[in-house]
Amino acid sequence: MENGFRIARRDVITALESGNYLHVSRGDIEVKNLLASGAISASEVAEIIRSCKGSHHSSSPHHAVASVEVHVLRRRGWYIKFYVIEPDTWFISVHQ
Amino acid sequence: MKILLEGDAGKALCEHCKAVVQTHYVRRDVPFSDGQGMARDILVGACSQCDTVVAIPPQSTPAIREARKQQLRSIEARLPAVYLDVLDAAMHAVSCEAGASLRKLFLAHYFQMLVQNHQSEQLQPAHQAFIEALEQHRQQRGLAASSSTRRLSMKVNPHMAEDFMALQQQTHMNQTELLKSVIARIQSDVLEARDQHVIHTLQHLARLAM
Repeated sequence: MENGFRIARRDVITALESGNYLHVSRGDIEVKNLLASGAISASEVAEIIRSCKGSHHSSSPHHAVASVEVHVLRRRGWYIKFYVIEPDTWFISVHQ
Repeated sequence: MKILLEGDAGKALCEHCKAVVQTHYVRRDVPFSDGQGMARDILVGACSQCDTVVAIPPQSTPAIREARKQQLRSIEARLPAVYLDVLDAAMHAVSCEAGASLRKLFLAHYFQMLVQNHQSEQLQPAHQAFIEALEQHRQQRGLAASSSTRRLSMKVNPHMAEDFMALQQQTHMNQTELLKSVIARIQSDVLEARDQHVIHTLQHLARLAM
C-alpha cells in the first residue's frame, strides 16, 4: 500500500506540474471537481498532495472497470480522488 | 500542458460502456452536475462508442469557471414567506433604518463569514432548529401550515457569487435550501442569541451602505 501510495503521489504531482492531466466527466461537469471549475489551482492541489502521507491515502478498484485503481487522498479537509490510465492522470473529485 | 484540438483522439474510462474506450475531442455544451447552467462550446473528449462526454481537458477550465460565475451572478429563489419576514426582522433589529434594500448586504456578509470561518457545516443544524421551533410555535397556537411564499432576487457581484458557490459546494444544498439555512443562521445570531459582535458588525455595514 505504501509503495502504491508513493507511486500514485509521484505520478499525480508530475501530472499537475506539467499540466498533463484530465478531468473525468459522466456527461456533465462535476461541481465537486473544483480543479476542473478553476476554484483551486493545479499548484495548490499539488501542494496539498505533497503534504500527504500513506495514512492519508486509500485506494480501491473502479466500480465500472476493476482494473483501474482509484486513489483517494484526504488531507487538511480536502478530498482528492483520481486514477491513472497511462499516460494520463484523471481527476474525479477535488473538494472540501 | 498539451493543448488538444478538435479531432484529436485519446482514451478514457467510459462509465456508460464500462470500459476504457477511444475518445475524440469535440466542442460541446456541457451542463453542471448540480443542474445549474452549463459551459457552452467547450472542448471535451467524447466516447467513440456511445458519444457520452467522458473527458474534460484543463484548457477548458477558464471557460468553465467563467460559465459558473455568470450562472451565479443572479441569485433568485422563492422562499416560504416567513423566511423573508425573519430576515427583514433581523435587519430591523440591527438598524431600524435598514430596509429590504439591505438584504443583499446582510446575506453577502454571512456568505463571506461562513466561507472564511469554515462554518458551512453549522448551517444544516441551525436550519433544522429553526424549522423545529417554527413547527412548535405553530402547533402550540393551533395554526394551519402556511403555503405563502415570497420571491428573493438579487444581482450579485462576482465575490458574493463565489462565496455562494463555495457554500453550495461545501453543503451540497441547492440555492433555495442554502438561502433558507443562512437566514435561519442570521435569525439565530441576531434575534435569538443577540450576538453583540455580529450585531455591531452588521450595524457598521448598514451605516456604510445607507
